[in-house]
Amino acid sequence: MALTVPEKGWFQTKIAKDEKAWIIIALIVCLSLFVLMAGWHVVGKQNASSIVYDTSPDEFYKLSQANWRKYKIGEEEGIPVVKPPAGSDVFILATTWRWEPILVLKKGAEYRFHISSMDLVHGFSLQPLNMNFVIHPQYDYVLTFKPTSSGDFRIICNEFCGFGHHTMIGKITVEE
Amino acid sequence: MVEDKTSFLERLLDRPIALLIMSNAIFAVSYFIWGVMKVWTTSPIPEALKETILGGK
Repeated sequence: MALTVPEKGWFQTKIAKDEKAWIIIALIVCLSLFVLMAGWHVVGKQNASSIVYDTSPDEFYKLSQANWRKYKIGEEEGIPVVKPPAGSDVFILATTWRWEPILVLKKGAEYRFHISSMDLVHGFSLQPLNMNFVIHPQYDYVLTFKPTSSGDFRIICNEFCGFGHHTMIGKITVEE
Repeated sequence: MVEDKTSFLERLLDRPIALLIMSNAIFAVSYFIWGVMKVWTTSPIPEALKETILGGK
């Protein structure tokens, strides 16, 4: 047997000084990592804080349509191009296999992104910045978003969602 | 009859299979409870926000 029970009385034997020191060092390292994990959320800006609301695909679709209608400036291959004003709520919809709408944002302005899925679990991955969020259906993920550089950015899906997964590419244009 | 004075912790640590099962079970149960709590405490989209989106200019 690979795992054998130690000899009787092992529990009462005295621990050597160096072993005790290593146990304490290992414990300190573990506790430090634990504290860092929580601390990094605030200091390191590694994980974005998000608000999550309960919703349904029907409700989210209705809200998205209303939101896009208000700020629509055009259409590209059947996908609406939306230019929301600074400080507004922006609805982003993930469907197999596309991201809607195409967004035109202003550099330095703050937006509240509402992201949800109509069907499966999708992965919102903003490239080339590599910001990633898992998007489940039935939930509205609210993220505060402030573009700091201008140009074209892509949203790709990084949760495998079927045959057209690799074609699921969205676009965000940030203007000066 | 000889009384077994082995402590509970020692007896537990002497059972590797029990430790293996516990290490998985504690993780699975606590994660499951965390998930259930998260689902229960998620609130719906505020009505005020819905009104702004659906009716607001």
